Amino acid sequence: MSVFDTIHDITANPHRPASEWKSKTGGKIIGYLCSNIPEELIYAASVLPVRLLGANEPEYVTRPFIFQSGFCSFARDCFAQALQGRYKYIDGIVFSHCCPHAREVFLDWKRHVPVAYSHEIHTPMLQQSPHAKQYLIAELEEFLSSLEQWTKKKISTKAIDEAIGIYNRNRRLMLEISETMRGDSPMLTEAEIAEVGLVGMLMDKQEHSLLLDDVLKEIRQRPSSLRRGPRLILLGSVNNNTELIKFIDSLGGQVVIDDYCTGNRYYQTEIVPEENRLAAIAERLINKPPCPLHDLPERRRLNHYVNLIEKYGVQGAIYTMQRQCDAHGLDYPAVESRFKEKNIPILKLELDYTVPVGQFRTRIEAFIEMLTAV
Amino acid sequence: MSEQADFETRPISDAVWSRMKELRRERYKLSFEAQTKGGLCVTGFAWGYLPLLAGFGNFGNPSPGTDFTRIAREGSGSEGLVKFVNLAESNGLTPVCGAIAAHLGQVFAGTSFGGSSGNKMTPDFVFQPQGCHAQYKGGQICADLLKLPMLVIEAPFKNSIASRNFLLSQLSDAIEWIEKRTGHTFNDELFIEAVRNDIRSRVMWAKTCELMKAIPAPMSYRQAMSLRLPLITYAYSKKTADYMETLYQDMQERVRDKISGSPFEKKRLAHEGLHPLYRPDLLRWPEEYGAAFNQGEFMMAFGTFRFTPDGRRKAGQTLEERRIRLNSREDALRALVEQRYPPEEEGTDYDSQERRTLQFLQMVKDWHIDGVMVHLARRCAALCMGIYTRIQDMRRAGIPVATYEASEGDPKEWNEARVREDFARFFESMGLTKISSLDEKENDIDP
Amino acid sequence: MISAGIDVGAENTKVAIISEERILGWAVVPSGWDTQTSVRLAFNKALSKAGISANVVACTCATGMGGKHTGINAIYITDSKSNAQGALWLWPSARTVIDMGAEQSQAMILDDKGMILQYARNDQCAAGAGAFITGMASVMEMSLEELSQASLLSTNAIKINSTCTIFAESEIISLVNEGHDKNDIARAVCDAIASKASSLAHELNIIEDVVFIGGIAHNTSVSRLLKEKIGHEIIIPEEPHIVAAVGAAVAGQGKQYQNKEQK
Repeated sequence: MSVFDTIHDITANPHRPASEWKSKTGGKIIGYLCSNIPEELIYAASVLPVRLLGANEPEYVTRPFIFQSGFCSFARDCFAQALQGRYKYIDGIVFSHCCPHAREVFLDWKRHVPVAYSHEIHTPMLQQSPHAKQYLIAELEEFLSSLEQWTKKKISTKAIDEAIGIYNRNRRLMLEISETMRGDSPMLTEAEIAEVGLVGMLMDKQEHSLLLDDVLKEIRQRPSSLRRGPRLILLGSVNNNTELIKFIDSLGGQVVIDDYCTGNRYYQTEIVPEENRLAAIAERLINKPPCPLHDLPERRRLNHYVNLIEKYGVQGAIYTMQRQCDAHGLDYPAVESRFKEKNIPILKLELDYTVPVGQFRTRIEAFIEMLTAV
Repeated sequence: MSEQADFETRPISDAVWSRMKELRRERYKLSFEAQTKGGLCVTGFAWGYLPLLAGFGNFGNPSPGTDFTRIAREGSGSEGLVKFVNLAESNGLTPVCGAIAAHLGQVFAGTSFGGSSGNKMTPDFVFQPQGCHAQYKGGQICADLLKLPMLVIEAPFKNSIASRNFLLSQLSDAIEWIEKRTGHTFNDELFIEAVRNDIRSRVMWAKTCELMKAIPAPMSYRQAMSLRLPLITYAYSKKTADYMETLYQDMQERVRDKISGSPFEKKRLAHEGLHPLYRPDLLRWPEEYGAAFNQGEFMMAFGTFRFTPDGRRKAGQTLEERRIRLNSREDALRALVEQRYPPEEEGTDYDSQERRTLQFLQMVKDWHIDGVMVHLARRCAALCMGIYTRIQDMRRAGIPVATYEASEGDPKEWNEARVREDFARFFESMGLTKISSLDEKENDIDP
Repeated sequence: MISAGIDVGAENTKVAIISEERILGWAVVPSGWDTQTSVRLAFNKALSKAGISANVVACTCATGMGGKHTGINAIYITDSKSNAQGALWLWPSARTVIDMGAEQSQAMILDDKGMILQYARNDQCAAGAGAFITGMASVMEMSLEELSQASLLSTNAIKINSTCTIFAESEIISLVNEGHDKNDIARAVCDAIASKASSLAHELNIIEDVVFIGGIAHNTSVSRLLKEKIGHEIIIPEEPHIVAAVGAAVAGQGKQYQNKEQK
């Protein structure tokens, strides 16, 4: 069985690795929302962090709790999984206070799908402030002691260091895999890389890193195939739907990189050791490429894009935003103008947690044709 | 009115009503002449921490939205506003918060900085204090469009020592930042005075809101929304604080004399959520059925309230009442921070549905509310946060609740027939029948 | 006493003429551009079915989105009230009413006098209402009845991903192109709309009897799926699409209906 068979299998059964981990170890599991969560601390507490994700399928269960016309489809999809009993194996939830949509799900989850433990980390929005780190450290201290109280176990510095090591190694491997897309004849597709990354959010990072070693081995064995089609970057709101990438590729595009918080941005930036371990973790959370919400007053995200464009030889961009995602919606004009400056055409698509294939087909086809004609 | 009124009504006294209009005009004028007289000029979605700017003397604040309702009324209906929403959308801002789109449309059109005085203003920077995530990002777009630096102040939604320190450091840095960027000097005395006034204005408003518990309530919700206007842009002025005090005394007298804001209170209603700003007349619709809006969280939004652990809402105290003297810039900064994060209420602002429900139910009880009308603001997650659970909780507690769907800022989401029907159904379900029609078009201007 | 009820809906205008005991006549015509002409046409048709002349009608009430613009002397009744009254008159033990019309769907809980105790409605979007199914039927080149029948023959449950009407339309075209069975696609359409109706009903504390009314209630497949989803028996009046018109007429009777025999 190839490593990709294992990975596809997890994708098809996203809740299995964690459930199996639980029955094997008897340990606790925390479901978390958003890439601003210091997973290392959870891991150091011998608790398995699992990222809360949607299933990208229609749901009709959240309506009694959430006002639909104003609500992010992704956050709603996550909550729908809880309501449908698919997260029965988790013992607690940890959310980062980012947008009101995530906040609503946090409050609703606590109320309507009670869990033994819940905590909200108030990630500062103004991460560029010189005082943000201090604030975040205080939040992390509070989180740490709340975890200790819940697990009735002190979290040692040694355990935190180990967790940091495990997570850093995982980030390094993922970036290495992602960088194989830089050349003219990549051995993988971006859909495969996205899937490899997403699977890692559902399982123990040490085991995931073993899978990544195998992926790298497989890459070396695969015959290189010269691929055609304009090289594309995908950006925008949180998106765990790899079908979209496959779809774009099937229409003659070639997605080579993304900047989703569920994709490349998730494994960007390693933790650099500091005497105060929480300060080191806070430093990474503040310095990693930001979500639009944390990207002010300066627009640092745009520089990150320019780097990615150059590094990956990007020729076109597709900006996908979840409906009602004001953060990404309001960032679009700035992104669009920077891409235009760089002569990179950009196409904006609105996602509603499912991919409206028919609607998108025409638009993506036209976009790719335009890029090919250039 | 075709039926004899239940209560005696009387127009709001001239000392209050005209004063409110004067203050509004004065602030408008001050804003537009600030720059020509050498003062600061800011823009953004700047409604918080204004005492900080007042420390630099009179300042201009042509924030998009100052003219919001005036624009909403331009042309027929809300055409003016629609034009701006469309403009924002055509600039790639879709689909985003309707209110922000309407505001940014004004920036795209460049209409925010003209003013009736004809003075053209050139803001020094974008001042973006605490707000929702869409306001922060909207302020950033202003900065992009106008090529201005941006000053952001974040106040996390959590009352903790760390939050107090975070806010305090930001505010004190902000003073230096402004001095360095603009060359204006900060005056500690002006600042201290502004903080003191700001707190007094807001406390007096909170006390006035408490008077709405009386049966009959001394003013209508609609009147309240107009009377509180100076709080939004001008709370830091001594004139506003004095006005708020006069307003409070005036309302005390009305309560004593049983003068009502609405002719009937067959049902006392609360309006939950911010109403569509382009249709303030909606706040009077209950009158057609002999009912009245007497309460709503947005009426109280600019007041300083404190919460007891059992969810009871009480007006806060002025610095004078608390015998706190502000002797230095640091004292004033701390007072401003503690206004936002009262140390005695540590914890998250809104950490559970249960707490919010508790507060809401307590409000319904204390203000003698018979029913609640909820505005579901499309595309605004912040206004609608937890709303469905709260509705269920209210129903469980036996409180009649109904909803209508629109948007606080985008008139394109307005469907008159549907909203009318929602209101009518609600009134009928409470056993009310239509007794009159409000025919006169309202001309008062809301924020 | 004879009274008439007019329901001017987004797609059709319905008129019902009733006596204290029974429906004497009813008619449905497309609403078209000119509401007033449609109202007159439907009214005359209903009168001739009832075999009476207009002057016998003692009171006329109108409801629906165009209920205020009928051009004739009629008392306006809110949409929800007419549905509540109509459902209860036709089925006195009705306590939950689910109404699905072209433009809106609503669910309500009634007391035994027809007072609305709880109420929920679809968002301002066609995806949750009958227009969705009409649109999808036309994409599939089927009549509404054919769509319903096809859906009942489906053997394989597939799902439409898009919840937006516009998006769903192109998705269906894709499904057709990909060679999916038409019956299965028809079922997916009915399933989507039944799910919407059921999530609406679940906002309320459902009490039996549950009555399903409005044009969509004609669709056997939707009503079966709805029954499964809400876990309650569903009662569908004989002419579910004229219930609001009947309710308006009932309101015009100016009397209580609780003594009525079950019809």
